[in-house]
Order: sequence, then structure tokens, then C-alpha cells
Amino acid sequence: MKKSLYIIYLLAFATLICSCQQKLQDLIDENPYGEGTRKLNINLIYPDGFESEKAGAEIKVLNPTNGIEYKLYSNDLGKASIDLQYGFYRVSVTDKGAPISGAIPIFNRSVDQVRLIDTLKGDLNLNVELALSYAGQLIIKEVYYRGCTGLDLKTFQYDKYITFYNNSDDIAYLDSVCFGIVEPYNAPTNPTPWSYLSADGQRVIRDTIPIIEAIWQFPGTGKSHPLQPGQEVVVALSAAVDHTILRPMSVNLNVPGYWVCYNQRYTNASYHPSPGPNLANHWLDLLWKQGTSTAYPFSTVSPAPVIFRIPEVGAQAYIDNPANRSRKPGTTSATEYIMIPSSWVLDGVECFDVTTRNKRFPASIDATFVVMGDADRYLGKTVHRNVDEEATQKAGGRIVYMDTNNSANDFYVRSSQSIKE
Amino acid sequence: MKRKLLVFFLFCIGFATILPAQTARKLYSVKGFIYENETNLPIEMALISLPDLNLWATTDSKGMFTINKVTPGTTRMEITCLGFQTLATRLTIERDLDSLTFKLKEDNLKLQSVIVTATENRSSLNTSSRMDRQAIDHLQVINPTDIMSLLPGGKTVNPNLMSQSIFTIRGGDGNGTFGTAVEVDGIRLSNNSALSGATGVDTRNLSASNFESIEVITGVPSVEYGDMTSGLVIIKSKKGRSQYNATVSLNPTTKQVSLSKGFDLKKDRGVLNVNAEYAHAFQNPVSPYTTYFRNGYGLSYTNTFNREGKPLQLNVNVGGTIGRQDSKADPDAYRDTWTSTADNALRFGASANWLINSNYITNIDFSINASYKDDLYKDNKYYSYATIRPATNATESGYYETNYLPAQFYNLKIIDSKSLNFGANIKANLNKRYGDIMNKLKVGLGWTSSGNVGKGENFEDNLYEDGYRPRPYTDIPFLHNVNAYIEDNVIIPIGKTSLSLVGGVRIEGNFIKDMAYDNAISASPRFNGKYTLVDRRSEAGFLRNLSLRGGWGMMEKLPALSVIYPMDKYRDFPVYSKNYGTQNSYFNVSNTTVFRDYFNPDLRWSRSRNIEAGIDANLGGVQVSLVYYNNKAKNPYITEDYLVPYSYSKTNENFAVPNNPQFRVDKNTGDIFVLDKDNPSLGEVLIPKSVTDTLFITNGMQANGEPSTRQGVELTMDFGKIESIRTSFRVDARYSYTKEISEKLNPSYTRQSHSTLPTNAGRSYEYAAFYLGGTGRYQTYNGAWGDGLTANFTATTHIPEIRMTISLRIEGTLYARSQKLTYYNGEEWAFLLDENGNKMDRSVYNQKEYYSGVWPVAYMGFDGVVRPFTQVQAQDPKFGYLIGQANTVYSFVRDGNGAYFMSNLSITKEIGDLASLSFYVNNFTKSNPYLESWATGVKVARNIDFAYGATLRIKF
Repeated sequence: MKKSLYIIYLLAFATLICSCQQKLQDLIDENPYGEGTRKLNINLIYPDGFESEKAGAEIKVLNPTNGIEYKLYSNDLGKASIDLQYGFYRVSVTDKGAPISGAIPIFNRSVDQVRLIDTLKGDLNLNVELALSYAGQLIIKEVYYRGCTGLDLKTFQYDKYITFYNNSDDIAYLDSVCFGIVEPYNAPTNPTPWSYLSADGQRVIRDTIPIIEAIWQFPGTGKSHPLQPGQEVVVALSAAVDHTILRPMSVNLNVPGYWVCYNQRYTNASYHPSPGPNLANHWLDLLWKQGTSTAYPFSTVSPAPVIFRIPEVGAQAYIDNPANRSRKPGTTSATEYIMIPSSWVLDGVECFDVTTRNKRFPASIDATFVVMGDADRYLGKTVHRNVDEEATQKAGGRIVYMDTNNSANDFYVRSSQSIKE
Repeated sequence: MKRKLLVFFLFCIGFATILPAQTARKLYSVKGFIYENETNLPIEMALISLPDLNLWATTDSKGMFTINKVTPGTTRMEITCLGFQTLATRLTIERDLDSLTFKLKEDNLKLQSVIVTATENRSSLNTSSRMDRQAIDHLQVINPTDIMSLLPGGKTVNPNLMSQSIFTIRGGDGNGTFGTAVEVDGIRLSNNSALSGATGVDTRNLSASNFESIEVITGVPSVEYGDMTSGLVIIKSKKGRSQYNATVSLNPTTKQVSLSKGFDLKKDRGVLNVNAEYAHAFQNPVSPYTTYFRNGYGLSYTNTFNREGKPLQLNVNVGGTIGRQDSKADPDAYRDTWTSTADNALRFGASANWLINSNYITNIDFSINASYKDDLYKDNKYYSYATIRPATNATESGYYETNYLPAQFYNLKIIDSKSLNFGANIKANLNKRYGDIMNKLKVGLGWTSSGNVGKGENFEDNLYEDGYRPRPYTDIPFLHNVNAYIEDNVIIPIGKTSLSLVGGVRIEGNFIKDMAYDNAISASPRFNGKYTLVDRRSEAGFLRNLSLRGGWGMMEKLPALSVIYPMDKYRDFPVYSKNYGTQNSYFNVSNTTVFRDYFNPDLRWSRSRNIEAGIDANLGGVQVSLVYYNNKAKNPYITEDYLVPYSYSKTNENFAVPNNPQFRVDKNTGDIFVLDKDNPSLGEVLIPKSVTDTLFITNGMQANGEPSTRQGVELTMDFGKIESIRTSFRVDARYSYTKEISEKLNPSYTRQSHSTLPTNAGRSYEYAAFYLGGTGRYQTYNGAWGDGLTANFTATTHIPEIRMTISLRIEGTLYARSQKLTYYNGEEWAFLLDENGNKMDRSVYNQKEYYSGVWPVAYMGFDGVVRPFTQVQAQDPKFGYLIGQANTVYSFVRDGNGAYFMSNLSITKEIGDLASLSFYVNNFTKSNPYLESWATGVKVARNIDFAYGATLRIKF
């Protein structure tokens, strides 16, 4: 009796050993340090809408043990293949898409522990799903809003303008870039109602910002209005004419290539006279106008201008959707504001007239503020970005401006309008 | 209706003529002398009147007077003369009286009793308050409206010549101050032809230092007075012999200097009164750039002719003011910009009162008057813009090139308004006694005419601003009013009581050239009655006097010329604007539409139905008067809107034009062609159109508004003088209540972007809404009610020995309440909205949690069909813009405030017979409490500011 049990136990054990044997053998056989190559097929998966970007993505395959890095480029189908020695690899993909609306879509993904071993049957197929983010190319370079004085010694404010600049090393496209100002027009003396007190007592400004009165947009089909690296574009906010004829301290805004916020819905002929002949077809589109005011009010004391994109659904559909509008918290004035998530914002500048005002932008857009006080008004002064010396040198002479989203560092008060030179 | 009135009219005359034949009583004459009390010198030009018989006489240079044909009996007698205290007594006539002697006391602070408050006129049947020279001096009136504080429940206003001084009585009527009339020496001041809108007349230019008395008539006045709905203010200036009177009046922002004298022309040639006044005020003592000044002059001649027989009293007066309000902005900011408004006036009046005293006529009054007011307004502004600007001044419909205004220029705007008013009146009295019954019949006929002979709005250098169209005021014809009235007053003694009844009707016809209004002739009947139950004034006891009175009447207010004369309306739209060349040259085109002939054939003159009921009593020496009034303003003048759809096309401004262009506009199609002057052979090019927009245009026409009611109760209690403390006390109070609800539908359209097309397409919103009453996008109530109670307590201490009067006045607002109302077809029209914007099933009243919302009643598209606004539309986002929502949660909460008080002190001291000094302090305890409003919780400082002033009067 006992003997038969023994035999059964032995048989079971043997079977067990044998079945594990294969596995053990596989383990023993699996020799990443052995000689031999395998093919790695990488398939890049782009987010929806960006299938056209598949070609030419740079793929880096790194062998961390010996530090050898291979660079591949994907083909038109987003695939790349490489024969590699057995090993564990890290595959990282960074791709820059074509610039749209002043921002460059960036596709990133890093995959660790890609195992190429001889026990693989055939090639290793790796699907890399890329994550999308945007890098801003356009920044606000200069805002001129404090006006100047005419020869008749009367103050003059109809020559306001704002300048955008391509701070990147890629061509930027102005098409569909939106411009607006954030509520309230002037920096408030009390904390803005669009903020709240967080759990630890800090005042936090909401991450979606309210655009007041109107949204202007550069027209175009996608690549109609390129802006080269290091080039700027001037947008006149009131009268896009040659002001220097009557007021030498002012500027000439009737220059080919300049743009203007002009639309016949704004019927105030004093504030919005018809633009000069050099600005033909350079009118920004008026996507949305809240109320019945006859002029576009850009603060001459403390404005908060912002440029942004509206991706995916498209600007008109986004604006028409009532879910994207909001009334001001704490009142029920019927005035509505379009809410823009700060992740869509390309750049914004918080301008104050005295340091004791309250902010309108969250820190992700502008952490601080630039101050141009009452002593500087009506003198033709503007707020202008500082040059980032280091980055300019690196760029080989193309001026790069400081863009740390901190306008106390990034901006200074310039004694005269930069476009006068 | 008119025929019946005519028959009634003729019947009254017939009745009056027949009756005398039946009562042939013996008539007596009354003769006497009037002397000064202290010096026994005769007083010339004193007026002795028997008011119940409407007989009068004046004394000659020897102080003698004669009144003939007096019916026997006991009647009231009053003797008045400038500078003397009025003597009121009763006279019993049973035979000829030959040598009556009366002595008049000089009117100064040596008198035992001095009245510095308003006195109620006990003899009239309607409510009237009168302020005499002593009260006007003690109050130190600079603006005539300052006396309103002496009326029951009146509130003190710090004297201020910087703003207009317009009377308003009992809350006015549906048009506010427009319904209150002002008359100076028989000359009616009228604002009907000022073309500045329907407001009351500005009395700022009247020389207050020359006023003898001011009487405020409210309730249901005699049919003798017309062209008013709330009440009448009668101002009389000084007439009579007097010494030189010089006054200097000062307060921190005003100074006033005046001189007047009544010259006795001797030998019964009459009296000539001359006065001159200069007043100057400024807004801010530190920066005196806003100022007002007035130079007032007056000349008045009075004489009585034929004293022995049928005396004729003649008065001719001429008065005028040269005044101006200037305001300059701080010259450091804007050089050479200023505004100035002239305040020049000229008044002429001549009146004759002839005491015929025959069987058919007792008295005849003739008067003619003319007044002229010049409100020349000048405004010099500086304009500074980026470029030249368009100005549309086309006077025909179509597409036209605009005019152009320079980019930087000074422009002087002149509004030349010269209003001219004429009037002529004749009035006849017949007083007859039939047994114990006294009958006074009054018949009158009058004509007034008002118009404006100014040039209207104009600009120097012909730099017309955008939208200006010349319209000289001389194009507007004069408004003529012919009126006739008849009134009968019967006084019937019933045992120990007496009943007085007054009934009359005023018929008015209004005519203006080319007028097409119906109902130009209207009738205003008025009735008053007074039943005197107890009249034991001389005895002691508790109930010394008790009378009940009441009245009902219709009053009519003539419209202002701006209301009845239709003006052309212009609507302009910019269509094309092109900046060409290098020097900011512009070519602008705009589209103009002209609306003509849209006067409203249903326009009615504003009428008011006034009711009054009161009790006057003397309870143990305390005079009590309690009056209830109810004034319903039936159809005030308003501007009513109506909407018209309109299309016009704009041209593409982006289309390139040559640097040296020549443009041409087709007036009818709006096509714009451009020709290159440097290459004319290329011919004209048509610039393409960009968009054709349709929208609604709002037009206004004059119409009548909804009725509103003003009710209230006025109480005055005069406690008389307590000799031991030489002080008299008076309490007056007023409770007022108003309510108005408008259920009219008002069209409304705001031009915003189309509801579905993209904003860049440039199309306008396609719906107009009809809102109830005053509701709209931001207002959810269409009515309101309010009430309030104010009370004043005045203590006047008068010490004749030291010739001083001190008065302390405590003014209190006991409470004020108001609440907004929502009402349509018997139900609440506004509704509450919860947090998600959904309608709640609760009453909107008296809650502070939720906001209220309101729908339009109906809406209209460009097809012109009006459709009701229902749930279907409310859920459609296209109509979201039309739904109204209140801005506050407390729209329908009862609002109001609690009690607050303040006190004023006035002192007048005479220094010998030469001078008198007055000093006042308003709100001398500086009581400006912060009172919380019940609805909003907002605290507001109440009461006027602390203010003081002094006046010095010298007689020589």
C-alpha cells in the first residue's frame, strides 16, 4: 500500500518538474545578454485629428545599460522598425506637429522596459500612444494703452495698439488666434468675483477666465497668415490711421501688415473710424459681441488682454454653446461672459495702475502684474517685454523675449512706442 | 354737452338780472378816516374792503374813504396798507355811517402778535395757505420755493440759487411739477412755450426781497384759475407808500442786496414803487467757476380815481430780471470750455378794478399782461478726435454723403429760446343780498396766447453736430386759449349755522394753427361747500368754531408746445466709411429716414380730478384744521413708442479704392461709385454691397399716460400764544400716499446681433418685445405705491419789549414706505427664479432670497405680426435676450426708513426803528443720522446739511 502512494507521489512530482522544466529552460534560455537580434516594430498612435502628423516623428530608442541610443524616424504610416540586440530598451517619442493658431502641438510618450529577448517569437510590435500638449509660439510683446498728448495739449487715447510676437523658432500661423480682454475692464479694488477662498485660506482665481464684451479672431483657413520667427504683428484697437499727422507724439498705424479690431457693428465713428487703406482685408473677425455698446472698450488704466485658441470644436460653435457662457457670480446682471480654460491661453498680461489692485489672471497665465501708474499716462509710454539675453544668444541673434508667465519680471515700462522707430 | 353748458350759462345771467327787481332795499354809505396809531397822521392809499360784499375803497391824502350803496347788515371789514398791520373787524350798517375812525399799527416787532408761519385762509372754501411779509423776512427767503417749508409737513431746503426753483404742490400730478401754476401780480408765468419739456416754471429769477405775500392755493380752486392741475401759487409784490428799504442777505455761497421805496406822488396822484435787487451765488466757495447771478428791477404805479363816486383802482407794473448761470470746467483740465444759461425775463401787467356797485354789476376787473423769458443757452466745447468725423444732417430720406467735422475744433452750441406769453382778462362780480342769503356771482372771459420766438438750436460757424437739423422755434405757431367761466357762491344762514356753496364751470377752447386735434374745447366744473356749525369766536368755552368743508372739481393743464407740435424725426445709419490717400481723408455715406406727420389724433389735454374734504375747528383756543385730499391725474402727457421695421444696405469697406478717388452716391439705391481721378479713362467702378440689414426703428409720439392717484391728509394745529412764556406753538403734519400701476404695453427693441447668424455677418436682432408697463430686461415691476408721514413742530417766542422774535422748528420725518408692484389682469406678472433659472410657484412679494424675472407679453418679428410670448418662446434660446431679470433680490420687498429729526433756529431782532437783523441756522444740531433702508440695508445720511445765513434790513 505505502509503496503505491510513493509511486504516485513520484509520478506527480516528476510531472510537475517536467512542466516547470520547460519554463525553467525558457528562463535559462532567455539570455538578454546573449547574442542575437530581434526586430522592434514601433507603431505610433496619434490623437484624433492629428493622423496627418505620422510621418517624420523622431523616435529615440535607448539601451540604458550600455547607453547606446538609436534615432529613428517614422514613415508615412507612423511606423518604424529597427533590429536590435537583445536587451531592455526605453522608447521615447517626441514630435512637433505643424503650428496651428499660434501654438505648436507636441506629442510625447516614453515607454520603459521594452523587452527584446530571444525567446520572442518573431518581431516585437509596440503601440505607442502619444499624448498631446501645446507649446505657445505667440506672446504679447507690447501693449500701448495709456495714450499721448497732442499739439493742442489735449490728451489723446485713440491710438491704442497691442503687439504679438513669434517667440519660437518655428513659423507661427495667426489663423484662428483669438484675442479678448478679461473681466473687469479695469483692475478691481476688491478681489474679483471669479475667485474663491481655498481650504487653506488662500484666494484662488478660477482656472477658466471670463472674456468680456467681444472675441476677435484672425481670419484665415489655417496657413493664410504666417508669422516668421522673430516677427511681430501689430493690432490697432481703436483708430488704425496715421496719427502722427496731427499728433507727433502718437504712432502711424496705417502700415501694411498691421491689423485692426474693426467691425461695422461698432458704429462709434469717433472711436472706430474706418481704418487706413493699407489695412485692407486685415480686419479681425468679430466672433462674439455681448451687448449693444457702440465702441470696443479697451481700458486705458489697467487692461488684461489675452490671446488664446479654441481648438477642437471650433470657435463659433464654442461661443454659440450656452454652456460655455456664464454670468458674473454674486450678481445677476444679465451680462454674459465667455469662459475660456486657461490651458487654451497662449499669453496674457496683467496691467495695473497701482500695486494695490487685485488680479484677474490665475498664476498659470500671469503670476504677477506690471504697473504703469498715473504719472506715466498720456506720454506715449507702453509696457514692453524684456529681452531674454541668454536665449537670444542661443538662438543665434534672433531676439527671444522673456516668457516666464511673470510680468513683473517679463515686462517693463518703455518710454515710447516701439513701432515709432 | 357744450350746448347744455351754454344754456346753464345764460340761465345764470338771466336769473341774476331778474332778481334785483324784486329786492329794492335801502342802501347806505360808509365814510371814515384812517390814521397811524402812534403819530395820528393820516394814511393815504390804505385799502378798506368789505370782502363779503365785494365793496372797497381807498383813502385819499387826508386819510378819508367813502363806500357807497352798502346793503345793511353785519359784515366783515378789512383795512390793509403796506407797512401796517391788517385790521380785521366786523361792521354793522343800519344807517349812513359818517365818521368812522380806525387806527393802524405799524408792522414791526413791537406788535403784540407776530406771525412767522403760514396762516390758513379761513374764509376761502378750499385750502389755501398764506405767508406774509413777516414770515418771508423771518425765513429769509432767497428763492420763492423756500416758503414751501412753511406748508403742512413741509421740509426745509437750504437756500440754493444754483439749481432751478420749481414749485410742486401735493406731489404734483402725472407730469410732476408741470401742473403747478405761478402768478406774480396777476401775471401768469408759463412754461408752456419754453420747449424744454413739460416741467414747471423756474421762479429763480424773481426778486424775493420785494414780495409782500405768497399764497398757495390747493384743493379745488375757483374756476377763475385755469391751466393747472395741482395748485396755484400767487405772489404779490409790495405796493404802497414806504420808506427806503435796503437789505443785505448773506450765506456762505450767496449774497443778495436790494433797495426799494414806495414814492408818494402827492396830491392824490398815486404811489410809485421802485425796487432793485442783485443776487449772486456760486457752487463751491473754493473754486468759483459755477455761478448764478440775477439783477431784478421793478416799477409799479398804483392809484385810485374817482374815489367819491365809482372808484377805479389802476395798477400798472413792469418788472424784469437780467440773470445768468455760468459754469466753467476747471480751466486746468479744459481750456475755454464753458456753458452759460441766460435767465432774462420781462413782465408787464396792467389791471383796473372798477367798483360800479350797481344793480347789475358790483365790480369789474380788467387786466392785460405780457411776459417774455429769454433762456439763451450757450455751450462751448472742445472736440479732439483721431480723424475727421461724419455728421449726418440730411433732411430728406435716402443715401447721402455726410458732412464732415474736423478732428480738433471748438464748437459753440446755441439754443435760443424766447418764450412769449400774452393774456387779457375781464371779470365781473355781482354781490347781492336776498334776505339773509348772500349771493356772489362771478363771470369772466379771458384769452391767453403763448409761443416761442427764438431761433432754436444753432451752431456757430455752421459746424453742425451729428444728427442736427435746423428747426427754428419761430416755425411753431402760437397756442391760443380762450376761456370763459361762471361761478356762483351762495351763503345761506341756517339757524345758528351757515352753509356756503360754490359752483362753477370753466370752459376752455384751445387753438393752434393747422391743428387737427379733436376735443379742443373742454369744460371743467368745480364745486365747493362749507358748512359752519359753530361760530362763537368771541366767547370762551371748548368748541368755539366748527366747520366742515369739501370740494370736487376738474382741472385741466394745457400742453407744452413741445407736446402738441409734431416735429420731424430723423433716423440715420452709417453705411460706408472709407479712409483713402495718406492724409486721413474720408468719404462717408449714411442712410437717413424722415418720419413726418405722426401726430396722435387721440391726444387729450391732461386733466385732473381733485377732491378735498376738511374740518376746521377751534377747540378751546386751539385752531385745528384737518384736510383730506385725493387728486387723480387722469391723462398725463407722455411719449409713446412705436416700432417700424426698416432695411438698408451697407457697402463693403474693404474694397480697395484708388489714392485719388472721386465718389458718387445714388440717393435711392445706395450704390456707391468710385472714379480714379488719376486715370479717369477707366471709368466708374461700382463698389459692391456688403450686407442688407433689417432692424426695428423706434419712433415716439405724444400720447397720454396711465392715471395715477395722490392722496393725503394734512393737519395743522395752532395752539395760540401762551402769554406767560410769550411763546406760541404750532404743529403741522402731512401724510401722503401715492399709487400707480401701468398696464400699458410698451414696445422695446435693442439693436444687438442676430440670434442665429454669426456676429461677423453684421445682422441685427430680429425680434421686438412688448413689455408690460415699465418692465423690461432689467426691471420686473410695473407699478409702485408709497406713503410717508412728516410732522413739524414750531415754537415762536415773541418779545415786543425788546423787539425780538425767536423761532425754533423741529422737523421730523416719521416714516416713509414704498413698495414696487407687479400686476396684470388681476394677477402677479413677475415670477421668481430658483438657482437653476426655473420658474417658482411663489409670490414675488416680500422675499429676499430669489431674483424675479419677467416675460414680455408679446413679441413681433419683421413681418409685423404680434404674437403672445408663451412657454415655447421662453425655452427657445433665440428669445433668451428678451426675458427680463431683476438685478437685485429686493425688488418687491417693502422699502422704507424709520424716523429722523432735525431742528432749525431763526432769530429776528429790530434795532430801533432803523434796522433789523435776522439770523438763521438750519439743522443746527448737525443731525445727519445714517438710517438703514429696510429693503437693501444700505445706510444713507439723512437731513440737509448744516447751513446758516444772516440778513440786515435798514429803513431810512
